[in-house]
Amino acid sequence: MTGTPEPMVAVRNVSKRFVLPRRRLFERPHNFTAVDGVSFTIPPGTTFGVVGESGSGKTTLARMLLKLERPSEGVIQVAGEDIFAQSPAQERAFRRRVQAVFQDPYGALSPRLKAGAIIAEPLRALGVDRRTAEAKALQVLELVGMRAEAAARYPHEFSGGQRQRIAIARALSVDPRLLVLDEPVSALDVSVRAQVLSLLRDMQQRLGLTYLFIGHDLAVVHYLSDAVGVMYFGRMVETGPAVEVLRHPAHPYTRRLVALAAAEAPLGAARLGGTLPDPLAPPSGCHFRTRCAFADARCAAEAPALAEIGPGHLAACHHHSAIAAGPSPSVS
Amino acid sequence: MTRLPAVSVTICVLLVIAALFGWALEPFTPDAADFAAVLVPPFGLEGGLAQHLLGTDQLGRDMLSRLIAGTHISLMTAGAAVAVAGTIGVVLGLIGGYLGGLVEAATMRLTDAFLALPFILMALAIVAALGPGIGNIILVMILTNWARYARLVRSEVLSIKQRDFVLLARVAGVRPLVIALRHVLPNALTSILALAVLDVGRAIVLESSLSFLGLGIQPPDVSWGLILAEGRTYMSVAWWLTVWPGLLIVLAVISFNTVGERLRGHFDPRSAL
Amino acid sequence: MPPDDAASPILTVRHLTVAFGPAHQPVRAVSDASFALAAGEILGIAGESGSGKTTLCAALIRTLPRLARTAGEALFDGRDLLRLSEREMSALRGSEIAMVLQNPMTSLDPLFTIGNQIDEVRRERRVALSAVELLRRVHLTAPELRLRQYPHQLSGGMRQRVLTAMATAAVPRLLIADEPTTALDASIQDEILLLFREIRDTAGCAIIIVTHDLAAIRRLCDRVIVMYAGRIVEEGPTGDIFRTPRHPYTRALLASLPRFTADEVILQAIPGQVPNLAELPAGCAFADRCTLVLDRCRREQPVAVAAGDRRRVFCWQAEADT
Repeated sequence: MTGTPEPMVAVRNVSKRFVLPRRRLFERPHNFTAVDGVSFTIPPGTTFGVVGESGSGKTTLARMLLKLERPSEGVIQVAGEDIFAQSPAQERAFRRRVQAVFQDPYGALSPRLKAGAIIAEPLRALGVDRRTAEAKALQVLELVGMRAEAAARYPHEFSGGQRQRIAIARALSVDPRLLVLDEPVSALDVSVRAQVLSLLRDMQQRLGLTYLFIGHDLAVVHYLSDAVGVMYFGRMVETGPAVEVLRHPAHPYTRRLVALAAAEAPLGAARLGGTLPDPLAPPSGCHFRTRCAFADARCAAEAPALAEIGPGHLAACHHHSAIAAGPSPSVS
Repeated sequence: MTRLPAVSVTICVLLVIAALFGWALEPFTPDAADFAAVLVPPFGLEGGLAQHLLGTDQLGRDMLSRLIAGTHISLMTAGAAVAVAGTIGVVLGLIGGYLGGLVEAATMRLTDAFLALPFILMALAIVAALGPGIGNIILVMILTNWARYARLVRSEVLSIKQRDFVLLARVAGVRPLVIALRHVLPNALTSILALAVLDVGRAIVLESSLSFLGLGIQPPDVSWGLILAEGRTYMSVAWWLTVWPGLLIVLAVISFNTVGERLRGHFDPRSAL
Repeated sequence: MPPDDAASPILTVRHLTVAFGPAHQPVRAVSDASFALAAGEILGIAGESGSGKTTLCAALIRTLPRLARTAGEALFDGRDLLRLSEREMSALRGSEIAMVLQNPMTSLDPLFTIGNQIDEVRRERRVALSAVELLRRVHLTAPELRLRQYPHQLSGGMRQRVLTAMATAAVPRLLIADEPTTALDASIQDEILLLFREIRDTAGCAIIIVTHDLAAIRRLCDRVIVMYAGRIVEEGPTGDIFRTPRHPYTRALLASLPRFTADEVILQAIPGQVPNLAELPAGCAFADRCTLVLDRCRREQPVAVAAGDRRRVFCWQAEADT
């Protein structure tokens, strides 16, 4: 498409393999593929939601985007720059441009520092002087809806929701362009979850931020997302506009997630047969085939690639048209 | 804040005060012999004298004064040993744990080697080579003890390194040295503190044992172990020569251990008794 | 099959109160909770942090710290659980009353393998199912491997499932599960909830599920109790409560769940925070955050208002409506 702005994030064919420590001396080392050939882009000012269950590789993906892990293969570009081929100066700029909020509000804040110091830290790391950094810290504290006197208190004096706000304030203190949010509300109470999600949406609109939002709760992910990607066992099995994927999920795994997310779904409505795959020895071809009612020999022989099945909507399934023709797991 | 056992804390505090300022309270010079007052029983017993509250030893030296001087030496020795061993151990453990890889492997193998050395043999070897005395037994205690701190700190560092606030500090671009000193070390220090307090009790016993064997503090310096050793021969006729120092050792060790255990339980609930 | 109303309840809790801390300013974790549980009934206790739901369960199975002050009664088969000796309580726990608690770290012995611990339960309760089958029931991958592993080698979600397997191995008469599915993925949550229902259906076990996951409650439970700041605010059959919540907090809570509409997902945050349990107001604890608050709400603690078949709501507004 012509005329589209350069994407804020472009992930191309990224994989990450870990070598597991050997248990016996002469055993061949096991490879564990956490992320397998994932590609997607995020236009600036939008939210890309990554949905996946534990073991899907979504957290590893987030870490690579934050340069906490190095991909085994593939390229990750942020604002047009390959982040693993940066000069030290570029890396410093990168650290300002990309910030993160993680899941655990109780582990995210250093217990021995006051909230003000915690928020000011990224700025101080960039070389900003103490007074300016502290002033900015108070500013963002207000921005996230907390009072200025919170800056003098320690993390243990705050509730989970408040800590998460402090974590968000810290992330926003350096005026980032991209925020990587890894399950930022999963550990919070339901009503607090809503508060923090509203805050995140508000911040995005006000500051024009781009979000990579990772979660396992479909509803929560969709609340903020413009586009979503569904991950299963390290692979991206479906991507597309959030509303579209929600209304017309194509991949059998996505369909199952959507069915489970429907609040009225009776227990066992979306029960899967088959065996759970072993993370160390995933099934050949399509990883989902051992649990899929539509799987056949082709699925075992050939891993399906993400293919366009609608405008901007891609799914990695050989039989998506047959599946789509069947009953739709509606959500509303 | 957890409520520390009042009695133990009081005893610890009293001992430390005695160690630091006791010399001003000694009624007599600890090694002043007085052959006119040999083996005087403690005040209150038959034959006891008011000016020798805890009795005298076989050379007429006042027990109270000797015990106070002994407190000074025993606690100072233990304190110095723990402080230096702790510092060395913490620095090495921090470097190894934080940097990982070969550095960590090297420091940990060094740690293992030192942990494997048996205390008494080390003491004998060093005393044989360098002679007995305060400095050398402090050296012995440091050499045999620093490794425990290194190991503790390294395991704390490993677990703290993985915690979100450290990862987020990396994401914020904070330099590794700053992360290590600002985030990792303070969080590891709490358990180190607990270990150190426990260690004081251990060091007291070690020093007393060495001095008792004649390998440690030498006369005219005084330590509890030395007083014990000297009083051994007269134990049957003068129980106070061994009971006072023995009691002090026991009291000191129990008190420091209790406070140390409580601190450890407070900072690391999983290991609380 | 939901239980027969006429049967006498297996558990009757009356005016249960749990307080901590100094007598002049106690932290009231649970205030005046009363409810009944019929044999074979699945009851969900919904609430957020500070609601008192976990403390309530701990009070029932007597795992509260000694500093806690409990008042009221909890009759299980005519015996008051709150007044039994520790020995009598131990005898009940594990045999008639099973629990899956929130902190899997402390519930599993780190020194023994999973297999060891499951076998211990199987021996004591004479369970026919093999350990592998028990682990399969809770959908643990590679069950044979898990038996040889130690608790620290499993993730939190896996440990939670092991505990569920152990608690459901022999059939207790009452099963209390505190957040049994929180760390789990949606698909596995489904399976665990199904497991609970199967146990109730086959063996008539009564179950109390404590969780903040309202969707799970909606799917599994016959009845639900909603708690806020230590008090029960609403109680009734699940379907009714979810369709027509009467208490403003229940309504707000349901509204704060992200809901799918045709085009988007909407949610409504509840402004404010749960009050400090040491400084609870004289009136309704939700008054500060309630959109329907009346003057009376701030002064007087609401009393139970019957709101239909086996439904109660503690709200002055609801009383005004009836």
